[in-house]
Amino acid sequence: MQSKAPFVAPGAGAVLQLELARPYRIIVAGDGARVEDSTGKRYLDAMSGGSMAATLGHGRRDLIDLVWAQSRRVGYLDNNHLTNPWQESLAAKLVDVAPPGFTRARFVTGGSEANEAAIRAARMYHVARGEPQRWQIISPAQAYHGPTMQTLALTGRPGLQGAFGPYLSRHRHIPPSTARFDATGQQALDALDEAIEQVGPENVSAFFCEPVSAASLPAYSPPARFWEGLAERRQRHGFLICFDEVVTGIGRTGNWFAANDLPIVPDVIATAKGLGAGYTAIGAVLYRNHVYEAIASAVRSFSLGHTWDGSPLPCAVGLAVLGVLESEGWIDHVAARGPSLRRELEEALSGNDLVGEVRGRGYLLGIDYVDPRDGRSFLPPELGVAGRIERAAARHGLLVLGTMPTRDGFAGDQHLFAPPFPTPDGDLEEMVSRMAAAVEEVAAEVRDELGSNLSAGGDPSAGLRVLIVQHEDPTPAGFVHEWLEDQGADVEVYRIDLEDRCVDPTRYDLIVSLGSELAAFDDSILWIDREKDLLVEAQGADVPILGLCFGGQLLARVLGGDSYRGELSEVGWLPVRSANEDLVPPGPWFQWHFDTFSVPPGGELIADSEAGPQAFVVGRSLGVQFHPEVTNEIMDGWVEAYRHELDDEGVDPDALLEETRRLEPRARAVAAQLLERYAEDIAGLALPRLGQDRS
Amino acid sequence: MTGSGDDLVTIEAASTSVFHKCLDRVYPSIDRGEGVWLYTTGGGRILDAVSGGAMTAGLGHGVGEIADAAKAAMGDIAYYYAHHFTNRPQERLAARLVEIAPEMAKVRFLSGGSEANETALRLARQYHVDRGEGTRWRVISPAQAYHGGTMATVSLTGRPTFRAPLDPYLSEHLHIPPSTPRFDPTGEAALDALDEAIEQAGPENVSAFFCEPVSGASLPGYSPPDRFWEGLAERRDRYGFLVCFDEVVTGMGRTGGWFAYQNLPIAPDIVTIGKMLGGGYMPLAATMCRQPVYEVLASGSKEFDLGHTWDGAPLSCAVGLAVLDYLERHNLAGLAAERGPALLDRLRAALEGYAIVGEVRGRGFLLGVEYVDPRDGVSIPPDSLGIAELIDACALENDLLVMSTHPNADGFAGDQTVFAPALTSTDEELAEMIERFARVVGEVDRTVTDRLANGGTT
Repeated sequence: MQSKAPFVAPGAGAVLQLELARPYRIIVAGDGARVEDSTGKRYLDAMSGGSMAATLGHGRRDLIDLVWAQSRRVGYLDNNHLTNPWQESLAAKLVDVAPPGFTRARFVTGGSEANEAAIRAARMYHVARGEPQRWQIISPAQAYHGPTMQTLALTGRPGLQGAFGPYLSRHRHIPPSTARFDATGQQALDALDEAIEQVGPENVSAFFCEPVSAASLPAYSPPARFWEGLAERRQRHGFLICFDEVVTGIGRTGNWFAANDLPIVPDVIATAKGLGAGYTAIGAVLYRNHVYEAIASAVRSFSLGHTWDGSPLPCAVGLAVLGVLESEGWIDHVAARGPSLRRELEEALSGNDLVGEVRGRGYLLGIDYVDPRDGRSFLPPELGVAGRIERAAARHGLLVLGTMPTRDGFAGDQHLFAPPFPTPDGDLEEMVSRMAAAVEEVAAEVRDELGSNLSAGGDPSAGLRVLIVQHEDPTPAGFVHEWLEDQGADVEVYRIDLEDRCVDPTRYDLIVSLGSELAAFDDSILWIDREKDLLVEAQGADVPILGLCFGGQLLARVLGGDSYRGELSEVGWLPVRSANEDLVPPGPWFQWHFDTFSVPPGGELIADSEAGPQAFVVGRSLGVQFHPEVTNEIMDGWVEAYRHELDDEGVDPDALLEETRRLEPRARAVAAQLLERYAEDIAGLALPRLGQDRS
Repeated sequence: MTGSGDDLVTIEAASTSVFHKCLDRVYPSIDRGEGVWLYTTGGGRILDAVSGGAMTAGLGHGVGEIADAAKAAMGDIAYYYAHHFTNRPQERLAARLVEIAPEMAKVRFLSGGSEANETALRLARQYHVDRGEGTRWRVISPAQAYHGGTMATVSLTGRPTFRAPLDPYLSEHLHIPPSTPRFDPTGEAALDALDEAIEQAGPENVSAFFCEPVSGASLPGYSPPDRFWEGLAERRDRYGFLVCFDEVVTGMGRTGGWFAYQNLPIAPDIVTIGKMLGGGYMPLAATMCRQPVYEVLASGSKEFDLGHTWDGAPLSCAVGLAVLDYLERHNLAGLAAERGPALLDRLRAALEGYAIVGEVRGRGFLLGVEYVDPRDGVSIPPDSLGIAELIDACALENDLLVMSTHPNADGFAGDQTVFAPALTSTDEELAEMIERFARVVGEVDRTVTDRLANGGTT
């Protein structure tokens, strides 16, 4: 169906995606910490499956085969009337590795369900103990505990709660005790005291938090003083402490649970992602014995649950995941390697004034960005720095996750860096260096923007920003360049064959990809993956592309068409058959090609010749087989550089030069018509100079 | 890798590491399944009349073809979160679903029914907010319903036994009584109650009407009369709220035909599906919506973020594709429609004459037995009799798995049993299930009659 498509365009397909206005690339393969998308682009996965769930890396045959084997044996059973050996063994194993005092586990299907069940457990504990007025929860304001209404109510971030306010319980929030706000943890404790006071200590059910933060404050954990103070208040006021270890549980921070390394033992733990390791959806709630005993003394049967709670398939896979972690020693590895990985990341980013702090525990690392002007403040949110670094990293073949600034002012732009546990050292080094390159690239732009005091969208009065991708010395943009400058465009030439850098196409209003003596189907060209990626990203972001000859063939190819050696070559000034002579006049156009292409799916053929397609339109982009950019100077250069090709084709160079000089004035007029009609009708660009001419 | 539970024949809830749902129960432990048969670690064999216990394993247990097909459909990656990438199994399964649900346009995948219903609530709310009607948030739903175990889905039920301990966390939604023959055979009383609820909330504050088109656990196999659905559609037109159908149980063939709504005189705006989508081979659910709902978001907030870890993962969607292929190839949804009426007739005939049996009803392979007080043959049985528990325990003694509920205390219905075999059950297997079940009902009927005669309950 979409076997060759590079992405699913906004609104296309039947999936309700997370973001409705952006294209989604298609992931097709994974092995360890390496993944590949449908264009063949490869990435290093420093996000363990994008969500930190794939702790054991991709493509573990033993775990995938176990999924299939277990589904043949028995996959699903309801846990009202039946149990199964896998559920029983996994529960026994989990309470064994949990902090001291935990005796029971109940299984669910994911982190939100686990956190909801933890809230329920705390509530039932208090009701059972004759304190039914206890229901309120206090939690750090920046936290994220899941997208169900009740878990959303645990966050104090208006941006996350969005439209759902009417459904959210009115819980209490305290600011995070980060180094920025509260280095000692004392302010957070004061805020906690105030919240307890406001609610009334007799009404507090639980304090709910991540022991080490994940998405909300990557890899941050409050100072020991905070945890000790929290434990004192629990003792004094009788509420429970629930730890959300959905991310940190099962090895991520270098221990079975992050709680194992803190000076406090929680009463309830919710965990999920790493328990399934990207091979099954599963979550669990763990109860300390006094919580279980209190509930069990009052209630002997429970009606609420979810279909898959404790079923054989997720539990069998979870059990195997724990087995692999133990037998292959990955948690010890994470504990041992984590600190040096953090240092390596820190060193690679040191000296970059955009980076405020690199922090973390085990393989849960976080990068905190600051305003380079003072080295402290949050960056202006409208710059969207985290998102830009995330996209820049993807261009460099690295997957990380940026977290956006919170409107509550507790967290700015940050990144998560959380590789799979078995990532080999070579891949870790490469991840670190790609991250540094991506951060430096965006840092350079940001310094510029802050220095020139531009607003995020740039100066609206500035001309069109055009990026010309040039592949070789003798093939510049010639007339196309002249014409664009005549329109007042701000033109940047990117010598992709000489400059080893990635470019963010979304910073331009138009991308022009030029010709080349090389073939658009030749994947051995050193820079071709970078250009394919650039064109895919541009097309996905609806940035118009004008592809000329090689550029047109490559455009066809990345959009799912084919590019290949043609049966006929064309060299010389030749006419085309046009279905839209207003856009593509019949010519004659200058042709010099041996390769051809097929129009990609969703594209419209505009012109052709005996040799094959000559022009096609896809969305706002146009690919042509001929050379509207050619000028006398370019032709002189080509005849000199590629004379052997003319000899092979039996073309007389002098006659060609003479013909070109004769036809050039008319060729310029025809090319101007093509460019004007393309820019206005297809690309929908507002050309300032054209606009003036009209007025 | 398996340990403690392996060698045990049964598990005492109170003495294991699992926080079980019933702490006084001794649980059979299941070692493997084959079709409608479950084999215990102790060598016993249980006949499964309720698709694994919660109407999920609708293709039967242990069908090897599913794993083979899913393996092929998955490709070379099992998991990646939906933020950076989409994936082919997810795109394909979504496309296939909107083919069999042509009224729907977009699909969000999730891991379970509660997540799907939460997502439906959020989608309805976002739709109204994007349309500039930020006042709309309240939901009206039938009081007896069960829509999931998360707080927001518990808020959709009006049953005090579910709500009581969690009340401080629950939204103040509005509920109408079910239009069952017991209360409202025409559906008019439910419509009057709906009008009253709309009036009470203020029509401009109502986000959605939320219900099961055919009830699952709460009123097994029950669906209101056509008049109710027509009246609901009229009110949607008049007041502008959305209609959300919870088809977590009924979707993907359970009631005969792909979706229960396709046999009703109303098309919903949002539909959730679950259980049978993964068929007992993978946790998988989905929330689907019509094009106009999608378009409002696409041109409004332009996002519907906040996902769960496993939303749309290649592994789960590949299994969904394999299950859908299997259902299609064996025409199981069509056969459930054809075979359902005879199954209902046979179950009715087998239970004829028992004083505790009030009504036997259902659609397709979703059947329900509702029990009554044998003393008058009409009333909801006294809660203290615990008929539901007696039935389930006696069934297991007879090596039969069924699922019963007892919402008696809530006053909307009495004890009931869900009888929902795998769609692949043979006629012989169905006959065996009915025979065993009739024996169970007979035993419980005697027990209950004796108890009442001896004044064992008040």
